[in-house]
Amino acid sequence: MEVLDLRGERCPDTFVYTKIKAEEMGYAGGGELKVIVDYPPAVESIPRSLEEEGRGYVVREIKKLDERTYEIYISVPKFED
Amino acid sequence: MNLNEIKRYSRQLILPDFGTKQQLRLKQAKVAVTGAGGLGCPASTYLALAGVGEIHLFDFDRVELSNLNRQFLYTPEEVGRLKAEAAAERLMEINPEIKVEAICEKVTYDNAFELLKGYSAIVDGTDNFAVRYAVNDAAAVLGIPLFHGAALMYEGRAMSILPGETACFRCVFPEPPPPGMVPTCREAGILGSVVGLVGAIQATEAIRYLAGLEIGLKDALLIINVESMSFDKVRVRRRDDCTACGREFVPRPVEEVCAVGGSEEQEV
Repeated sequence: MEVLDLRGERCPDTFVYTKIKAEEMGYAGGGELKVIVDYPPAVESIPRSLEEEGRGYVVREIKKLDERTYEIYISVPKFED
Repeated sequence: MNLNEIKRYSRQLILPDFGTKQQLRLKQAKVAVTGAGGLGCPASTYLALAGVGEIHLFDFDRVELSNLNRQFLYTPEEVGRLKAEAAAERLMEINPEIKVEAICEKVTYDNAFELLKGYSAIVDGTDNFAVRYAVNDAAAVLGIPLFHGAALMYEGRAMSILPGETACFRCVFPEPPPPGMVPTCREAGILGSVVGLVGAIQATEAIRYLAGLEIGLKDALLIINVESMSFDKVRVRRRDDCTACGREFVPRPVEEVCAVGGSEEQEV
């Protein structure tokens, strides 16, 4: 499980780092990614943006740790291109 | 990509169909921009901003005060400086992640085939027909994608050429217009925002091509008129008998065409 700690980051940078990490993992064969955010709008926008990428990312689970902090669990497929 | 690059390019990295792979393709590209004038300034600036790894600026001319209504890479203090050098310095200040080289040499039919070897793409910012045909023929023979642009008065044109696949400049215009028909901008005038528009279109096409994305000006000549603000895409076709990209290549240098004569202007 790869972990990306994005506490302190806001949108759209939360998605910038998530996308780059997910692509890196996708080209390296895929895997599981945990993204930690403390910017509540990102909890909704990251999964939606990932889906719009059309890469086959699957958001498995979103865990609320406290008032602002969330963990987003993403399955990254292996990229074929 | 280092953290600076990720931050710098973040707003394009989150575009649909764009990502780390496409950004890396831009970084590995080496692009020639012929002319560091009205088209070359916007085109090279957007290539630099997008992260094209290596840009070579071809221009033998020096900055003049009359360039400054459109050639935004230069300051009044730089009047008299070699444009390619001044522009290269400025672009590397704007984006220190890339390399920009100045080639202060006049592109001619005799040297274009040698000078333009090895580039991933050529963005043409010349308004001189002799150079434009030289660049077109060299790109066709060398198999290098060419992003053509031109602007005069209130009209602009752009076209993207993929050798062996789409129509080249000579397919559409086998001969230059007769002398007297084509005023250079010394005579005709040009608005900075109009060349800016065309240069930005050339850069956009080049960037998308280099990133591996589909481009819109293949086999198409875009004609922009800013008086009516119309954008028309005219369909063009490859010619089998084109002397540049057809069945057989025939070298056909073109005389410098200038209404008044004596203009050495290499850029729009």
